[in-house]
Amino acid sequence: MSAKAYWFYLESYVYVAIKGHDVLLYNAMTGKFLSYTRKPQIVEFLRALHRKENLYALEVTPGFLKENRLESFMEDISGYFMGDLIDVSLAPGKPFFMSPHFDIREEDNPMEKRVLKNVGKDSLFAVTHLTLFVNSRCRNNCPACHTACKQFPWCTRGNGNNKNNGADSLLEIGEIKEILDQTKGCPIKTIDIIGGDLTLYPYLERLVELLCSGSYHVNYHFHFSHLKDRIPDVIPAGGPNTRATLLVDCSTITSPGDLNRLKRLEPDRVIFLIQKDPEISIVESVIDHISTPDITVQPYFNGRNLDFFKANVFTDVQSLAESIPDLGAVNSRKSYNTMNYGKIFIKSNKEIISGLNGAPLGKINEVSIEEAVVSELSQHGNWLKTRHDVAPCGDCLLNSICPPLSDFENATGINNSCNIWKERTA
Amino acid sequence: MKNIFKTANNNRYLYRSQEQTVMYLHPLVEFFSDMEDRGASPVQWLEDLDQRDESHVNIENLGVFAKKEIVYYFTKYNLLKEKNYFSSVRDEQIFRRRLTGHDIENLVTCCDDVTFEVTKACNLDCRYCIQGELYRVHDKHQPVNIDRDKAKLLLDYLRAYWTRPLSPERITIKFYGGEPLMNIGAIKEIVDYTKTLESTGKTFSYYITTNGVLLDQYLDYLVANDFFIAISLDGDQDANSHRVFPSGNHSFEKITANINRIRDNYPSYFNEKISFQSVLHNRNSITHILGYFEDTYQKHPFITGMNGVGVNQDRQEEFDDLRASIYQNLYYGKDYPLLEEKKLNELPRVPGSGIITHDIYDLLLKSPGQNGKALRNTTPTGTCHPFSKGIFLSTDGKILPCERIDHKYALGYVGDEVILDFGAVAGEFNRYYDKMNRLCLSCANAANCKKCLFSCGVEEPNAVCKQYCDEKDFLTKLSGNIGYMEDKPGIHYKHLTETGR
Repeated sequence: MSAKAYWFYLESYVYVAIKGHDVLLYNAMTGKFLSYTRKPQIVEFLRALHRKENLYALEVTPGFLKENRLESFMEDISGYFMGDLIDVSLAPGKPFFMSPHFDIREEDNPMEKRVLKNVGKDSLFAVTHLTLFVNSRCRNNCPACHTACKQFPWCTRGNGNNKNNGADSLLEIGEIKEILDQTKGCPIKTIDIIGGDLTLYPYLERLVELLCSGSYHVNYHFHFSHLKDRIPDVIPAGGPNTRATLLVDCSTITSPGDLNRLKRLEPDRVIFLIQKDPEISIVESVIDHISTPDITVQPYFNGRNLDFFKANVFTDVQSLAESIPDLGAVNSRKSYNTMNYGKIFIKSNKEIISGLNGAPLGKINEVSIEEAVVSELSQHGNWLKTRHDVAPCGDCLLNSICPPLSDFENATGINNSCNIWKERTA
Repeated sequence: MKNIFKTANNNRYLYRSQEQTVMYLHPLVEFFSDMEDRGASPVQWLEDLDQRDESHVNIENLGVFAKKEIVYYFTKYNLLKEKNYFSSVRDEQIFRRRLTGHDIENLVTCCDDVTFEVTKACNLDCRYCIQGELYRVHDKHQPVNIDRDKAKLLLDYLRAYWTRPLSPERITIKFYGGEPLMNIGAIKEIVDYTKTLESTGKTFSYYITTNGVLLDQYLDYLVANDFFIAISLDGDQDANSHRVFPSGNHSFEKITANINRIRDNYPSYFNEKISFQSVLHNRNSITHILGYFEDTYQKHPFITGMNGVGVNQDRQEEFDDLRASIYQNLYYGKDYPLLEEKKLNELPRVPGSGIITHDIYDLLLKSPGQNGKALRNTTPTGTCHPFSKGIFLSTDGKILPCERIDHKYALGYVGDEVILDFGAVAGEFNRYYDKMNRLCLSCANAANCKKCLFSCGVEEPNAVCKQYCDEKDFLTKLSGNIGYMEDKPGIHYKHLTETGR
């Protein structure tokens, strides 16, 4: 047997997740991944690589690889450009290797619920996005009224008490000013304003005036049914940082008249809510006729269209690979919800929440925003909830590569909105 | 210039500035890269190779490789090229961020450190003092004291910011000089005044840097008010012999007697609140300093070098004679064994002196922030944003961001009221950034810079940055330092285990 020796190493752009005898290796440069199930010899080998005394490279021989049934693993690693075997004669002084990114999940030490220590002093700096549901008043009775707003920012009558006794609620200008004062200095770049029916909000003009004096980008959300021919003039008068966003339920676009009205409105942005396949075609045809450059297609789960979601929304291996999250994103997703972290929502009934499905952190006239944030960070709420925390994602080695938990998943309890689990457990 | 370098051990690496990582590179990958750089076609070369019968090929200066191996590394080279791994060392980051008045307001709100220069007077005449004759600007310790009313005005001004949500809970009040204990009256008055500010909800702690000569007179007061005391001492009698009284007499006996008094009378206080600061020069060494303080006081001092900025050109030779380089001593000199023995956090840091050990880990092994990018500067140079570290009030009422900056760079003033125009401060800093940016844009280490622009003569017609390095210099240094790590795997291991990186 040849006595030739090699340095084995993994590239620093590789993410390695290990649980028990299963391992996943993800190449953040190419988006490709390798997975091995019930391979203790591979796991042991990678654990040895992880030990710092080895300085992230192991000296191996062909004999060693054969004995430990690692030959085909080596071929895979080389083939995917995740690492290499370097002839020691080419590098007699052991080279300097930087560590790949290890995520070793010990069986007997499950990931603890993360809370942040020393929360307090700088907690308010975490706030990056503010959404204000300024009123709940609306004359419509949309089927999605109380459910769409749990899956994505959407107008609703449900933030007031009008579900029960018809009373509406709204945020007073003074209250909004207080919110802005409390968050002065936070790195907030965007504020979303949503109703109820924003055209029925009595202080809209004063609100626009108040917000355009700051350095925020402000998006005013109007339901398509609330507007006849034009966006309220006060919106474009708010300056270049003020935008009108139109919320369009595709199921309500039924006539050419609807399409013409959509064209006339000329919003800065349109969000199309879709629930079934034919609505995708409606959106495609509408897009050709309107000049709005910023269009979002938002799938909505109505409780009966799971097949639609499985076909069009659920992640699969290919779309995961195509997304190629970089290592920063992968590392971040282990620790906090990168989609929701930093977002504060204030409902028209004054409640402060950290996510669309979050429990109230208090009311604005009872607690400060800072107190609400401290409470959120101290209690492992929405901001820190990751796929590691929910079944079945918690057991899946891909859980840091997958996109973060969405409000859709939080609202529906369908956590593994992917077709991967089925593939892997089939 | 391509981002590839070789070490003395002939190992090749690629430096990625975006992620601040170093990747080992197989020699064949570099071979193809060089080939393309020369204008030759690797594809043609491979086709020619394919025509040949032999299964292995001898590539000059590299060795013998199997054809299959050559093709594999060509594929890898192409992949790295496609993913833009071969790029300039100096990534395309442009320091676009500039400060606004709002930023300065936030920084003042969040500032938890207020330093008062209570006097310029000093009872010692240390040879290396920056107020002494070795330096261009020196005032020979003029007996100028702080205006106490101005100090209180500043505290009143800051009180308004301490009521805001983002303000810190604990504020540290620091006293500086000259020798601050020579104006104990001002210290007492300021401390008393902060106690009247408790309605702000803040707690105050106190800190003083002293040469230790007057500690016997004021120790009880300092202990009663729970002061953190940093005492300047350079080691044993001989090591401390640059720190002398104006008469020329040594200060060592007096200072150590005072230190021993604290230790004997207030042992818990000595353990918790007393620290030491030492300057490295030609009569001591890091080994000596660490050994002396460990053996004598079971303490670990903060070690700095002599300040090389503003040296009087006529005294340059004398300065050079006095000065010792922490970097040279630690990594290549008599103090090297400490690297092997001591924990890294017991050794002095040498930021910006070169990219070995501490710096190499700052450069390469910071945790990636979001989007995989290493934490990096957002404005030109490594200068702290104003008031991010503290607010400093000089004896003559000038407001500065720290005590180490020449007072000609004052940002505000306390007269009958506090004059601090946030917009103007931001504008001034932005002007400095714009001026330095012409150097930073072409500096290969700009993203990781730790240099303060105030030590670059930013107001001079041609600001000079001694840390500036072009791409070639950068890669040469990196080559030396990675090579050092290759040769000293024990040091590499120590860093991995002790820094948690």
